[in-house]
Amino acid sequence: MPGLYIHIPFCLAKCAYCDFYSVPVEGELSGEFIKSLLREMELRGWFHADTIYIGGGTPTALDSGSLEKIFSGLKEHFGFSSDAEFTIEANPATVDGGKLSVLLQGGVNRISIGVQSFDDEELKTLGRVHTAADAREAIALARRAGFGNISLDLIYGIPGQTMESWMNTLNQAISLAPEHISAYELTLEECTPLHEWVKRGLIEMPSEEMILEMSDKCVSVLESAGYARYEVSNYALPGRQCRHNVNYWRRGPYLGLGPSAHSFDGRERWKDIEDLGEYVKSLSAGALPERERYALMPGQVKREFLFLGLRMSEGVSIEEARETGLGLENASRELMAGGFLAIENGHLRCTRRGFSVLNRVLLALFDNLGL
Amino acid sequence: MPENTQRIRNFSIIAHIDHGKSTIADRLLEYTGALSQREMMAQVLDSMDLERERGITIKAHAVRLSYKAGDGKEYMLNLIDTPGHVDFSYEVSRSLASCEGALLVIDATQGVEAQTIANAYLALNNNLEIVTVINKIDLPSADPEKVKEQVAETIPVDASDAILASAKEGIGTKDILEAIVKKIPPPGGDGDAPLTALVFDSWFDSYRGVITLVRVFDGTVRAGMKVRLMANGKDFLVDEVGVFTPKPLPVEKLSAGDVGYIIAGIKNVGDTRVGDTITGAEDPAPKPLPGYREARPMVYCGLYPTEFHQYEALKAALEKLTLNDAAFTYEPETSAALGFGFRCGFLGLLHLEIIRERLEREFGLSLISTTPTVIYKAVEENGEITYIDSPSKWLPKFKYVEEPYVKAIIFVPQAFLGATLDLCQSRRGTQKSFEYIGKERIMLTYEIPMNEILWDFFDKLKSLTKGYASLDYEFIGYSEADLVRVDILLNGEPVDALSFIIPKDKAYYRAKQVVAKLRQVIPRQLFEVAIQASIGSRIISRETVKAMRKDVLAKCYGGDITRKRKLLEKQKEGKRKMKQVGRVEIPQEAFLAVLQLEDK
Repeated sequence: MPGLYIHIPFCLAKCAYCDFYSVPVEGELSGEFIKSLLREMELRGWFHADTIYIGGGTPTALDSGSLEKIFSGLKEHFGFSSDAEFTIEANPATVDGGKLSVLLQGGVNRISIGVQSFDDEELKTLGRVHTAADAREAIALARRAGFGNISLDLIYGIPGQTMESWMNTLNQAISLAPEHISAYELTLEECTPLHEWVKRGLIEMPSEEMILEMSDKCVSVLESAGYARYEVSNYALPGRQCRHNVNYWRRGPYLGLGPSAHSFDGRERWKDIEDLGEYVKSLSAGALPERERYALMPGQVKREFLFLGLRMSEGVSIEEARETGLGLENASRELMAGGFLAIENGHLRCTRRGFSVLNRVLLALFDNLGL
Repeated sequence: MPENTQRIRNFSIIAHIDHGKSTIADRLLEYTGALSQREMMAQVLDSMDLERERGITIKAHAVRLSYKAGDGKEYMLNLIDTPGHVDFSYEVSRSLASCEGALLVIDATQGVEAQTIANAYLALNNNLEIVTVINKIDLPSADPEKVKEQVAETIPVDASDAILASAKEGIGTKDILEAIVKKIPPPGGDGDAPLTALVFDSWFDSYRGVITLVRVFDGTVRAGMKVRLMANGKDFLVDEVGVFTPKPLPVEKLSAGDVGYIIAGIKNVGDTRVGDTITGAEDPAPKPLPGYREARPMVYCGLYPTEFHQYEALKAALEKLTLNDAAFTYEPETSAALGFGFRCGFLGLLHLEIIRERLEREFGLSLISTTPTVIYKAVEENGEITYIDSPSKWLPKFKYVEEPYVKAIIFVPQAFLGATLDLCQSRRGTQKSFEYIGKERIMLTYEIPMNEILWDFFDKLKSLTKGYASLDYEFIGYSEADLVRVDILLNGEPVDALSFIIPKDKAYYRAKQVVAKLRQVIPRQLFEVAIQASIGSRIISRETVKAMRKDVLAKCYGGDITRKRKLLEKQKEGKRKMKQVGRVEIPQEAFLAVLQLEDK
């Protein structure tokens, strides 16, 4: 079930924690980008997608006209299943009734809203351009416009965040009844302002103890509200898992379009040029802006299978692993005894404890498997 | 070149470390034109990189200098350089035995130090004529008169006519050369008698084989002659004899009184041991020159490759190093914790460090070394003696155990006396003498277990005395001791490479320290790690490394799998650098950390 990803490299402002590629949105530049993106669609030829995901950056930073051009380009150059999942990421500060109906008209049927927190102080720390009220407003608008599949992004482990405010954010999210919630631990990425502030001691990250407790509470609160954890940081009502992301974790093929978008055809991985200017230049010369294409070695395939598959609550199929020559039962005996892994329905999966030390679990497993 | 031994002078330069031995040598070479100033790399006699970095001379060398003296005659001066570290004191003694005289260099600002005295006595025991040189007189704090007084009080040497010099400024160089000619006697010996040549250094050259430095006492050696190494009775045919100027210069022959090199198709430096006598195979001398003894390692440790596939490379590197260093020994050893490696013997800790560094630098190996240990002498019930060079060979069934002792000479200013006495006391030292040298300094003589002095004694002494104390020591013999072996266990599994032998009354404290240190350096892992120390089956200390609780990538979407995989691979690389013992991962520094513990 191939996925199609489109990267929109524009933001209203850069968030303090984000290291994804984006530049400030600006009329002329976005015009050139749309032209190049359409050219890339044309060059990549016809392709039948089961899921589409427009991410960024902030896709909704584009004006309605630009978005419409992308939608018609998609219709022209790609085919879709009748039940295709079509997601767009939205920043609460960038949606209004008009734009939402453009999205729906264009075929978008799932919207992922970057709420992050319902505490305005925390939003400031993160460098977000919206308030908690903006977020509530955006969700209500989306619902009213007719979106039947809404996902909210939340972040915990924000400097200054308390257990109480995190619980408040979770409860507010639940009360808005989205179909899907992503709850990420804040990761300090190098070369971000937040990383710099922490390094210079201007702000302090919460203790490991606190983060563990936040993570633990998050799982309990969401699960008791009916949101099942189906991946390390993702929760959904029954049948509402993000199919596009699940495809990444199951190593399905996907095509990425736009600067810094990644692709995988089942055998090789590559990415598009990261820099917008270079991207535009390449496509206006009629060349695919492709970089760093490489074929996976057998060992890499096996490691990917495990480190992606074990992010999912379902885990990895023992049978499927056996077919590629991996004897998981033997290799995970010690980790199961330690309470990090479990076998269920023919799948090896992480326990809650295993999830919080997933990297170590994987390294131990790689070791035992000689990977 | 003068034929007459009357115009030969063989001499060494001896000094306490940093008193300027090498710079004096440089000035002599420069003055006699052996090297132009342009050719002078700083301190040419120290040829190995490592020597230059550490500022000490490790290998002895010999250089022939031509000097036209004040009397108008041309003299041939053979400068025999000596190693400057106590690990190599036997080599020093053989170099001195090859001379008739020595320059005793003393720093005009520091005065007499422990090695000044130790070296001076070595020279006197070899009946050398001593020429005292007071160096660094250009420094504002120089006090040559005080130095002369100190010499008079400590060594039976007349320093009233000591030469005042500054090697740095080139002051006194000519006076030194004149004193060498006038005060040091020419060598004796009979050029027609059977050959006796003392080996005082040898090294392996990949083109020429072993190059042996000798001092000829009697007889003559020349190319084409068959010679015999008297210690092992092996015969070799001489290809070439020559001298260093300091460039190698082949000569027709080396006769009684001469110093030079012999190349004789020898493949292994083990055949030309320092201190051995070379004689003619056709007309051998009735007995060798006195004083030969085989250099025996005093310190042992295990060397293991960090990655097991480097075992063969390590083996090859060790083979290569022994070609050049007969005092260094190795044999295969297996550790349950570290896998396959080698038990290596060294003259001392410096020797150990040099070899280890060469293995890492010249051969690109990554190594783990286990706690160095001295050689214990264990006596069994039936009187049989076992030498223990590794904690793994320790067995509790011995009747009694003896440990090696050294005699240590320590020079210390009065202000630091208390701290120094405390240190010696805490290291189980027994005071043998206490003597004032001048008004402010004291010479202490102690007998101390070698084990106590080997690791950080000198560093400790230096820091307690703000760098003013000096130290020299020599092995004197074995003495009974109450020792135990402490084992370190991780999750109940003993890690053989971390075991150590220690006096019983220090065992608890040290075990506690080691265990606490390990808790710091062993990172948190998936499982809790119990660190324990035991004597036999009795646990004497315990700490716990709590289990790792959080290590996960929160986000993994947007399709960038490559980067996530690389992060994981980086972690995997870090893990690979650790040693896995059972299911515990131990970083390499854990093995070192145990050595770098503070005293109580």
